[in-house]
Amino acid sequence: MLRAWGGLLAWASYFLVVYVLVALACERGFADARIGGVAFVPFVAIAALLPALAVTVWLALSALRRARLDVAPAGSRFADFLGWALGALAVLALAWTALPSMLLRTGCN
Amino acid sequence: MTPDAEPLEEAPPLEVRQAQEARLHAAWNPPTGWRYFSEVNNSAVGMWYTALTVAFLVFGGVLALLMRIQLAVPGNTFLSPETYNQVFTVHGSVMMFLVAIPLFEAISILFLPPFLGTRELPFPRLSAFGLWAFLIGGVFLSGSILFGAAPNGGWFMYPPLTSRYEPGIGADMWLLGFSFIEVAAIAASVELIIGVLKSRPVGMRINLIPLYGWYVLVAAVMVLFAFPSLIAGSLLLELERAFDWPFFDPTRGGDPLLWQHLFWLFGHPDVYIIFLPGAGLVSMIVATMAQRPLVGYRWVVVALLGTGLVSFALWVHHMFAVGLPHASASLFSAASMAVSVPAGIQVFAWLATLRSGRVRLATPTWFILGFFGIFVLGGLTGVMLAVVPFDWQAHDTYFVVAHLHYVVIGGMVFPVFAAIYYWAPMISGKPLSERMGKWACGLMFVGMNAAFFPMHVSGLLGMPRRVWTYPAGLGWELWNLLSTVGAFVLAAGVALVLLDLLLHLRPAGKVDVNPWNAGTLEWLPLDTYASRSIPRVSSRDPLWDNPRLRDEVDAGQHYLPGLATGERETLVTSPIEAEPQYLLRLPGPSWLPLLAGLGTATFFFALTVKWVWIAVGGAALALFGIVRWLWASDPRPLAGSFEVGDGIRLPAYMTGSRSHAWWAVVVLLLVEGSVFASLVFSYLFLWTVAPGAWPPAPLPLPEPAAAGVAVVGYVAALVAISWAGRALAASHSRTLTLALVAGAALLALAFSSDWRAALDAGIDARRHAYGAAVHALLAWQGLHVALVAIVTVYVLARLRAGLLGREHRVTFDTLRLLWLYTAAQGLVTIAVVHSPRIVA
Repeated sequence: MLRAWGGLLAWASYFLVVYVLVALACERGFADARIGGVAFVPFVAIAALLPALAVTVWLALSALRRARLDVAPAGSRFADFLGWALGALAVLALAWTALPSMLLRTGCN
Repeated sequence: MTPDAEPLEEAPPLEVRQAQEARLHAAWNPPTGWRYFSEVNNSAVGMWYTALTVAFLVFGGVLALLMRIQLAVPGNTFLSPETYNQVFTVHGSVMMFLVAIPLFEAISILFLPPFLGTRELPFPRLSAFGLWAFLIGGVFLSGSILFGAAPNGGWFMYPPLTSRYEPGIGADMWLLGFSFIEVAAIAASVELIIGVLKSRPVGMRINLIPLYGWYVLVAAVMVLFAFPSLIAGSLLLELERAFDWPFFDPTRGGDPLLWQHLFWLFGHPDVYIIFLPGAGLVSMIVATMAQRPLVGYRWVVVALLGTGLVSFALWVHHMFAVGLPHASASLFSAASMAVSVPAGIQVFAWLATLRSGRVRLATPTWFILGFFGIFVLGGLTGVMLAVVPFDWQAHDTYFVVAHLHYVVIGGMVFPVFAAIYYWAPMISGKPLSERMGKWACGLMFVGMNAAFFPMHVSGLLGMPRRVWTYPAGLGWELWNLLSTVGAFVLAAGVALVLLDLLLHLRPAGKVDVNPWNAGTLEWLPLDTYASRSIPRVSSRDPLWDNPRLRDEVDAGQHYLPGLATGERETLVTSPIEAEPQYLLRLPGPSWLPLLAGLGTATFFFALTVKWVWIAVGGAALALFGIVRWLWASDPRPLAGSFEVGDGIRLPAYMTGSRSHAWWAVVVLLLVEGSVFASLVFSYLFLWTVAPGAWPPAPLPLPEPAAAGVAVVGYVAALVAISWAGRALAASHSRTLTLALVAGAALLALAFSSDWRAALDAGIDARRHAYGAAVHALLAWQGLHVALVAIVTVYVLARLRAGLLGREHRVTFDTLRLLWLYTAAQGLVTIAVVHSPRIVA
């Protein structure tokens, strides 16, 4: 199941990191800080998105490559199919989750 | 021609078949008379479990009708305000905890073995324990309303209402009672996960699992990660109520929102835990009723795995109105909309299957069509509520009541009623009444929409949920009257189904029917021992692909046609490719699960009313029952291997990661870890919301020197268990004993050092939420150290009794996993408790 859920776990990690950092920033009052001219929340959303996307795409492509080799037993190939299909879903979920935070201009609200 | 078309063996001569059948019957037939209730077989336990949940459904339904009578007209006094509070609380709690969740477990325990073509799930006594715990707990909780002692704070029990303003035992009953029922749910999940992963027939690779198996697997895994947060939350709220530990008291550093986070971390995945198995039933029924394989099997699996995971990122959408920053709310709003995508994939797959097949319009099909209409509407209003500004308007109104009933009744009740009509012939050998079924479906569909659609309107008109009554002139009268009439029509439909069941469902001995011409394994001829032999499978619809399979299996031409070991047994296969691994000997009828369930229930409910000594007695009874039951559950390995068919010989004992026991312990440790993670989350949450420094001055931190001692102790305990493992492998009993005793002492030393440091520093659990959070973490760790000590004594007793050895080592492997986990958890506890010093 981990093999299948790898991409979505990357999304979940992204979600968790952004949620925790945003909660801390808003609760502790540093959400209005700007990093390189970008507000904290959009900065976090973009900075965490890049590694999450990289891991997800890498996992999905690895699974796709394995699934195409056609040498593994059918059960393993199915796990690889789940790996790349859920990886593709995770890429969409990452973009969808990141979008609202990236559109915020300032602060928490 | 698929390999299914080839029987594994020639049909044995008649006298051999009769002898095999006689031995199977001797092993698997249930006891007679009053001893029947000591049976632990899935078919008996699953049947009782299902009947019990239906009984609770009726009870919860009657409570709903009482509410609807009260709200039918403005200014009504049919129920008193206090009674009304108890009625809506018990209605919601019963429907969630005693119906929606256990119904999926009950149906799965009943149906999963036949779906998978296996004789039995791997832990039958665990299922029986869960059943008895559920029965006793459920009756006690439901019965409390008859004595006016029921909880009255709503099914999600928000503090401070439940922590400060509910002095009676109702809230304790809820917190302890439902925690206990959650334990039963987790027990069932262990059984179902290992069942799907390790009890499939040979050849049923993961790409061939019947979709219900996939749905159950995902829902059961979700239970492991969702329920622990509620267990942790209930623990904290009960600690506040009983011992004044102020987790939720803002005057002492607590925060009521912590409860909402913990509750909805459980509560939102729970919606999918309820819906997914219902969707699994739909997937099975749609394919048969359309007489074609489900369109997009692979994508449906993708969708349900995606739904399962994304559903853990939605909990805050129940909290949009509590004043969270918009930046946080937007994350959850996005995830709430995103989850509708995989849900939509499933709906389109079902529609495409129906569109491209030849649909038989029997009663199950009508219920499925009703499910589509109702559930999709519930899903759409869910997307509306995911939009933050709309949620602010509709929050806590009848609009939300309408939404959640469309989701739960559409997503769970209609599929289950379809399942009742679809699978009844598997139990009694003949279908229920088509005429009564269609009438019932019509009444339920009309009644459901008449009852709940008007609630959208009354909600948008501003009617808040949970009001005891309302004045005339607000425009709510018509909608409420319609809802009441609809509720009674819905109840009439349910009553008609019950009547049909009473009149026509008679469990038969051997059942040999396939009335819907289904392609899946549950329609093999079934007897008390399940199918006569365990089929080899190489397609998703084996009965369609090989029309002779039913006869071959029934003639004993596949695996395990008789008893290989002379006891109840089943095949264990590998999780991905379903290759045969070993023969699992299964326990037979026993009163021990009932005894353990009774003891556990006594413990929890005696605590509720603060009868401490009776609680201790209950705990002792539970411990006795569980230890006696476990003592026999790791029997001496049988020498050699056993022929299971097709020339394959398998051992009848397995250790390590191939063993079902190893998997079960890992699954349970995931639950433990999830509870612990919830406690860590609680600590960090309280830290985050605390204004200023943490801990707030002048509250102290424990001394770091004690942490150093504890770290050394835990690491040394890890070395000791490794040493014990080597001693066992070398059959050195004395060294093994020494290593285990020394290691357990080191664990205790490490924990006591950490705990002592907190006490010496003057960290008080009652003074501030900081102290309460620290002591909660330490108490959880202490519980595990005590558990390791008990299991160590147990393992040493088995060693002394000659029931532990180099080959016979499952009990030791279990202890080792628990030990590793406890030491690791201890180290993380130290890191968390001392983290303010590091951060500072």
